[in-house]
Amino acid sequence: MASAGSGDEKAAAAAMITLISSDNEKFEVTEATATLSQTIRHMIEDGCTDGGVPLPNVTSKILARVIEYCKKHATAAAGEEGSSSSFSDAAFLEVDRAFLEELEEFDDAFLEVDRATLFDLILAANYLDIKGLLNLTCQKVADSVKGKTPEQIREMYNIVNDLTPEEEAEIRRETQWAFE
Amino acid sequence: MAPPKSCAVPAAPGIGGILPLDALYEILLRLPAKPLCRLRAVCRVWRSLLSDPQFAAAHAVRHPGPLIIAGYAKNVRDDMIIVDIMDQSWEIVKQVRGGIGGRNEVISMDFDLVCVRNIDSGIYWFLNPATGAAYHLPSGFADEHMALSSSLSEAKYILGQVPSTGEYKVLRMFFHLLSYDHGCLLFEACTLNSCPSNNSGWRRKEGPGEAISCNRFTSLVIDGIVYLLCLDLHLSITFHSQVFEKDFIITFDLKTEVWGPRIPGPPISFPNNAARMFHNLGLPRIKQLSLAKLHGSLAIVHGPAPFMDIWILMDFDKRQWVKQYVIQFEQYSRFKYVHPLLVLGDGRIIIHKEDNGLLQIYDPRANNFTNSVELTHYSTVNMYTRNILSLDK
Repeated sequence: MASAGSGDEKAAAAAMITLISSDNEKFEVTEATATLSQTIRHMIEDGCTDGGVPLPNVTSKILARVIEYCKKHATAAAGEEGSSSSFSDAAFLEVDRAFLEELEEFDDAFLEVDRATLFDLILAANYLDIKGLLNLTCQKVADSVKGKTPEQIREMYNIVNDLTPEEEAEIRRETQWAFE
Repeated sequence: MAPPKSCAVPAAPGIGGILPLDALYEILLRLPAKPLCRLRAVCRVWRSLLSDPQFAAAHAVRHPGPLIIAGYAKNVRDDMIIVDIMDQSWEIVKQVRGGIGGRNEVISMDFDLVCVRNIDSGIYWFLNPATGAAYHLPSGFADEHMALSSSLSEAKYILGQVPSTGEYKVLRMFFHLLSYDHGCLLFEACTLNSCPSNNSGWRRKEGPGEAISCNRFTSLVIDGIVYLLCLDLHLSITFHSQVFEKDFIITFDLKTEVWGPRIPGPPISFPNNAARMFHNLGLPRIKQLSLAKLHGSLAIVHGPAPFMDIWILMDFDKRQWVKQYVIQFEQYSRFKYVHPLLVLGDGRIIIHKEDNGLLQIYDPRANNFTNSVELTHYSTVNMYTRNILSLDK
């Protein structure tokens, strides 16, 4: 993975950013890793990252996971850029494919978390505006919700049914086919 | 310092007090339409989110695949459901009920309006499955035809939309059963109105001076122009494997309600010994000649001879036809229409094959059919372009 490695080195030469979690833990990351977050990218562009970026909505536990995700995917992004000039080279395409498979495996393993962590990751991805992570985590929840009945959803997520029996009957009549 | 673009708002919890509404929004956007309609029944927050037109619009952007609408044949359902809307994997994403009681039959579906015939009353009406709006045809006949009303055949209806005004208009044709010359074909037009009291009634139209073939595969409307096949040439090609020089496509402008220019069809040809050849190949002697709309253009579908040729009208003014697809069917036994519905972005074509009720996707590069689904209990199948989440009626 020569292309990915060179991308990483280039990034390492760039400035480092300090992220500060809600419980005051400091994380030092490369700019390439941090800018997967559009929110942080805007802060960097505005030049207000000196002295660290406080992230009062993200705990250290979750921030560590988010950084893990960003590191892996920043490497992937650098790899893509590095190989794009030699796209006709079959060997590079082979490397790319292997790397994409590895990335998929990483994503699958990354999602092996309990529901509370998954929700926290969604919140963090939403707050930090990390498209890939938001997509990954939301799709995971969406897949688990897809085949469920309204009753099962309420039970899963402790949602109180505040619809009157008449309102619920109305919805069910309108969309009876969707329950079949 | 720039404020974060979005932040967690705990005020309106979407899931059990943990996830805020905008995170729930992101999750639900990733679900197909069918479970979303079902999950309106979870609670008030979910109901209002999933009934929001903005959510429906965002969902449509994220799930852009073509939708198929299929209308039920008569006597199939007794629960008022008249059409199913399905996605490209043929999974039903929405079903729509009709407003008139009794037995219904879906006749056609064009311009996202479903044409339904009530079998008990013989009444035709149109339903917009997205809004639930129903359009009724004016009763009676044009004044000039009133005296003939007892000797008229059942009408054939063609629905179209006038692009400049958005109006729906219907052209209908019937036979005067006591007359035998070309004058026996009578035409009327009307404008569809959802409020029956505003109906202006049927307007008599002159005929094109020639017999025309008018079923749902030999007539269609593109950009406010009705295209019809001239009957004698249609019969000559489909039954006798013979073509003669003639402008065999007749046009009618729905806006001005006058007949327009006629154009020749594509250069269809048959070998001299066509009849024997088809016999030896075990192919039926009857061919198909029908109209379709592909790439937004008029297409002529001809076959099997032994291939199904699809010609596209590239330029109306220059009368330029191009044979764009040649499709071979392994089995073709009965005279039923094979109707191309849509060319997908990757060049594959969704085809409805009437003889075995199959809807399938044809790949021109691999020359094969995939994703087949049997739709035998439907009477008609078409593309659907509206948003399926927008309303349920």
